[in-house]
Parts: sequence; structure tokens; C-alpha cells
Amino acid sequence: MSRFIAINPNRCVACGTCRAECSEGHRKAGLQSEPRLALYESRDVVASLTCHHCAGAPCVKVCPVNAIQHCKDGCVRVDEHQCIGCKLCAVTCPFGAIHMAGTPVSGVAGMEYHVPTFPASTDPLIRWQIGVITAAVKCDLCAYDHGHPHCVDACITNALRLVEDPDDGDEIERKRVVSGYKSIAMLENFDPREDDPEAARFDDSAEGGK
Amino acid sequence: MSCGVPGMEDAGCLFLFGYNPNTSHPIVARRVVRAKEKGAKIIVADPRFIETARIADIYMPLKNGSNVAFLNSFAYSIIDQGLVDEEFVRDHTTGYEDFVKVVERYAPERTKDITGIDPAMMNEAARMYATAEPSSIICWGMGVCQQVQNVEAVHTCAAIACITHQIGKPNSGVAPVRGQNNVQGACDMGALPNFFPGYQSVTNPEVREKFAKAWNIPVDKLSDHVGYKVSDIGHLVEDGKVHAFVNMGEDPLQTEPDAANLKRQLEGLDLFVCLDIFMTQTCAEADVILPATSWGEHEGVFTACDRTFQYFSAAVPPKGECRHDWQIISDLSTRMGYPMHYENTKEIWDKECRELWPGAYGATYEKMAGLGHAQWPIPTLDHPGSPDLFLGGKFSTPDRRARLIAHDFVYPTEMPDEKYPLVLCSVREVGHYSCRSMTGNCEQLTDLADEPGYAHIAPADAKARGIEHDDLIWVYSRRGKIITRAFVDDRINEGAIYMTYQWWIGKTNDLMLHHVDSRSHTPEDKYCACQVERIDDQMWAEEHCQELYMALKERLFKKADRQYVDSDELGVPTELDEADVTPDPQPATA
Repeated sequence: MSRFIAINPNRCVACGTCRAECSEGHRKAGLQSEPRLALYESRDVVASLTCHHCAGAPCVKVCPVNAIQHCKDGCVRVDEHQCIGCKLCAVTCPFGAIHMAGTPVSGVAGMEYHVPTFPASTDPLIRWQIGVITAAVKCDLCAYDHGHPHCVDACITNALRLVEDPDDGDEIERKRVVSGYKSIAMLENFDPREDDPEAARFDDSAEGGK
Repeated sequence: MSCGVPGMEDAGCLFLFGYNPNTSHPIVARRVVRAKEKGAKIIVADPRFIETARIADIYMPLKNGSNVAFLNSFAYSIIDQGLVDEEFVRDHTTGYEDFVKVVERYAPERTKDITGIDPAMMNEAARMYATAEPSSIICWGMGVCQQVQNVEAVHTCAAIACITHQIGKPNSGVAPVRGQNNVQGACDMGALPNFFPGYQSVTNPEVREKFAKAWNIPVDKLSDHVGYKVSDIGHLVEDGKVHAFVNMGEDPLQTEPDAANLKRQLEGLDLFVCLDIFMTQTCAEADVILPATSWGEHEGVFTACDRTFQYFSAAVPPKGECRHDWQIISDLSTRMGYPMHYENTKEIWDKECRELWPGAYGATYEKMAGLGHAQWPIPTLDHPGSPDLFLGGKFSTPDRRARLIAHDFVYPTEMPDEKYPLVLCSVREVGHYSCRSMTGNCEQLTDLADEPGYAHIAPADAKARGIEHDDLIWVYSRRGKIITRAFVDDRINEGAIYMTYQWWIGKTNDLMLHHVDSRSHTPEDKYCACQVERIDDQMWAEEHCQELYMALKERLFKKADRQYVDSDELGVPTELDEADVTPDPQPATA
């Protein structure tokens, strides 16, 4: 069983509430407060992107200390205690869903200055001082809260959704039918390079491929 | 607003003009998404390809500072294509002939170099707006209000709604959203220089009589002329017209244009009192700080931009010496000779709002209990409230007709030139709110976005200056020079940069021009000339930025902490340097 968070970009309004909620939830659990969703904005699309919890996850394979594991609940998870900050997973992830972060302790803007006033971490192994060890952060489907992702609840337009196998079987079947019709129309004059400038980069035969 | 925010979902067309709901009001953006899903047409006119432009049916990339020319052409196009509702114009408006006389000089073909809009697109958008069923709404935000021709643009927007009969029916008309939470409420309660509560004019003798009686004071104690506006405070101090300033929950040294100059001007005050919940750059200059309570500590009524009163309750009791605004005001008033006493906010609401403002009489605390709300006008206890205004074309003028007004286009005050070739426009972003005194003190939001903030710049403008995404850069204008980070953004038009005014180091308002329009005295925050320069030594720049931020934090921290009493600043001898202190021959306020 694989579970992950899907987004409907047509509904996303780029408000960033998912990121705030993600950050706060993990911080309270004593984990890195860095948000695990990235807001991607371009002229055509906006979306909160996060881990796909791939079945053949390359990050799991490359991790030299086995800090990244497939979990029973259908999630690929980093153990921030074991992570040594080698960044291999971040390099290998095809979606850019993993990055490195150390919790900043710069304090808030106006009031706190000398001493950070964060509540003591509930986890003694994650240090909150300057020089905190950098760890890989990625979506863990809010494992600290029984795998109930906070971002999904926080989304003000219901653009985010937790995809789970049992719920989505019918939906996938329906989409197959729809896309079957669509691909017949698409194939008639389909050139991948036309639609996707990135495709040209990976095509050795294309002129000027870099 | 002439309609309710929820009603936006049911309009046939939303015309977003100088309004970016996704960054200023995500909750309204949600309505726009739902309207689109329900089949509404969306038109976006904005120099930036804003978030809503992505789902818009027509995106009109108008040039910065061309609003009135654009709207005149839009009106021209409506008239030219025969889309005017002549019956509505005849029965419910005045001044149509004079309106046409101005507008007819603005054919889209003639204004296309000013607005940058292709005439065919102008015609298509005008047709979409005017013919949408069942209704259209023009929404505008600070993109209209913070321009040199702000009132003029508002007149024209309203006139456009009138001539097409896209007002005076449900879910239609004009939707000017507010820049801040409860601006509408502050205006409702008479926190304006020209109105008592409920928009009752201070220059009207009958109104003064009524308020004098209610407040039990002689009528000549109530001023009969319009007061000063906050955007003029600096000049008024400089001219010797204002000597004392009580500043409630505002940080003008962050939010007013040409802030460095304003700081100098405020030094001329004899007495400067600040009410705030956090130490801000403005509070740091105050003679007296009165600690107030935050939204979670007090209760009261907010008014949303669509005239909806909502009661909110306190979550936690006030901390330390903090007191509610209304308690502080009552005490100040009592000490200044007018005894003022209230038991609670309900008493204030009933006595000062409901009883003195007939349009709000039906908005009782009982009605607003829990998640209840009341939308004014709500004149009686059993009135359901009014999501829509002007139904049936009955306007709030004496003859109940809308006055159509058009204006000639005027260019912005400070146009770009060779030395300052870019337009600087101050905007909002979702990450922080307003002057950042509140959200900047929130740990999780500071984690997500912190100093020095970003200047959004078009890829071509960045490339021409050798600037890459995330580089620290200099931005300077005739007023000042600041350091900020470049956000190379393909949604941005060439020739302009966009910065939020919330950053303390990358402080946009040290650059902005202080120029206010003659009617509303709103600063022209959307347009001034500037230049951007790359910084070669990025390592130095990062350090410099950090140093500036830490120094500012330390200054504010010391100001807020009683342990750090700075004897020089107070002018009071302490044990340590008593011997060195000599009496100051020249009082600071002379």
C-alpha cells in the first residue's frame, strides 16, 4: 500500500497555509521545523509539491546509514536521528522533494534576541542550538500524528488530498476510461519535444542538446 | 462593497482590477476559485501575472500607473459596442452626457501606448463584463487606491458598473476590498477625520447636535470641521500644527512612505504616545508606550469589507500590564477632562454604535453570538441584514440616483528616467502581514520567511544587471538605498520591481515617494522611480544584512526591556554616571 499527498493545481491559491501547518506540526513534535512542502509557482501553474513516497524509492536505496525506510503505513520516512546529512537522497530524488535543513534559531523579529525562547524540544536528540546538525527533511505524512497529514486539513481550498489505495481504485478506473479517449486524440500528431522543452535536453539526437 | 464576499461565488463575471486576492486575502481567493468552478468568467487586469491570472479567461497586462486611461477606454469600449443599459442610465443615474464627453477621447486605439492593452482585447473584456449573466462584480484593491488618481479611478469603476447595470441587483456592483483587517470597522465607528460613527458627517449641525446630546456635552465642544489625516502627520508636525500624537496600533515608520524623513519629522513632536502590543520601530521613538492587548486577548466586533459585523471573544486573559484599547481610551479621556466609563464592549457597542447609528441598530450581540453575524444596513431587530446594496437602482445620494463621473488621465508623479529607470511598486505577500510587528513575532511564520525579503524582478531586467535569483542586491531611489534579495520572477512585467513594505532591513518605505492625492490623502505607494544594482561580494552582503538585522533587533530588545535603561536617552542620572551628568540647557522639544 502506498499513500501520498496529491494536489489539484487549479484549486491551489498559493496561500502557503500548508507550509505553515507542516512546519508547526513537526516543530512541536521535536523534528526539523522546515516545511516539507515546496510551493512551486510559474506563469502557468502553482502547486505545493511534496514526496510521492515512491514504491521503488531511490532515496531509500542510496542512504548509506539506512535512515530512510519504507514504512508499513505506505510512507517513505527519514529518521532524523540517524541521518548524517550526506545529501545523497536529495540529489537522487527525481522530484526535488528532499532537501537539507537545520532549524534556524534566529528568533522572532521584534522581541526575542539574546536567548531563543523555543520550548525545550521533546526530543533530546534533536538539538535546538546554533550549529544544529543538518538533516534531510521530507514529507513523513505526519507520522508523529498517526500518519494524519496536517497540510490536507489546513488547505483552505481543499486542493490537497491524501491518496490512499482503497479509496482511489474506482477513481483510477474512471480516469483510465477518460484518458483512453483522450490519448487516441493526442497520438494523432504527437511530438513530445514540441510540448516539453526539457525533453529536448535529454534527447541526444536533438541539435544543441546540453 | 455593494455585495457580500460569499456572493462573489454566484456572480457571472469577476473583474479583478488592481487586486491580488491570493496574497492579500486568501479567503477571498478561495471564493474566486469557487466562482470559476461554478462557471463565472474571470477578467484580471494587472501589470503582474498574478495568481488569479492563471485561471482567468482574459488577462490584461496593463502598464503600471495607467488605471484611469485604462478605465476610460474600458468605458469607451462599452459605449462603442452598444452595451450601455440605457434604461438604467435614464432612470437611475445623472451626468451621463458629461461622462461620455470625457470618455469619448479615450478610444482603446488611442490609449494603447499608455495602457499597453490591445484594443481587440479591451473590446472583448468590456463585452464579457457588460454582458455577463446574472451579474458582474468589479473588485479592486490597493492597485487602485494607492495611485495618484485613486479617487478618480474609483469614480470611473462605479460609473462603469452603473452604465452596464452591473450594480443594483444581487451579487453585483463594486467590491473594493480593504487593506487591513477591520479597516471597515474603524471607519464604521468614526475613526475618520470627517465622520462620527455610522458615516454621519462632522460638518452637519444636526448630526453634531445629536452626538452632543448623546455624549452629554455642549455642542460647541464638538469640532465642526474635518480633521487631519494620518498620512499628513509628518508635514503637520514640521509646520508646527501638531504637537502631540497618540498612535494606536500602527507602525508608521514601517508603513508610511519616505519613512526615514518621517522619523526626522516626528522628532519634532512635544509628546508622542504609542499603544501597541509589541516593540516596533515607531514605539522605539515614543515618549510613552501604553501596552495594549492583542486579538487573542480581547473581545469585540470586527467588520469585514462587505459590511459584516462579527463578534469575537477573548481566548486568554491579558498579560502583565496590558490593557484593552477601550480601557486605555476611557482613561485617557477621563484624565483629559471628559469622564468616560464602560463596563464592557457590549455597552460600547449598544451605546455608541447601535443607538447612534440607525443602520446598525439591529446588530445585537445576541445576533452575533457564536458564529452569528450581521451585515449592515440592518436597521431593525428583526431585519435579516443586507448582503447587497442599492437593490432596484436606489442609490444613497439625495435624489437616489448614481452620479456618473469621469476624469482625464494624469501620469504618475515620479516617472522613471535615465538614472532611476525602474518603477517600484509596493505590494503584499502571504507570508507576513502589514508592518510585520505581529507576524514577525510569530515563530513559525518567521521560520518560513525572514529578512531581508525579496524584490521581484523580471528575468530580462535581472539579466541586464547581472543579477541571479536569490542574490542580495541594492535598491535605491531619490529617498534612500536598501539591501534586499532578488526574486527573478517570470510573472513580473519588465521595467518594474515589486517589493512588500513589511521588511525592516529591505525597507521599501525608505525608497517610496511621499506624495498624497488631494482628496483622500492616500500615498502613491504603487509608483515611484528606482534603480537596482548587483552586489559583487555576496558573502559581505549576507553578513551586512545579518548585522543590520541583529543591530535593529538589539535596539528594539533593549527598548522593550526595563533592565536596559539607557541613561543618555532618558536624560536621567543613574548611579553609575551621576557625576558626569550636566543639566541639558536646551530641552529636546524646543
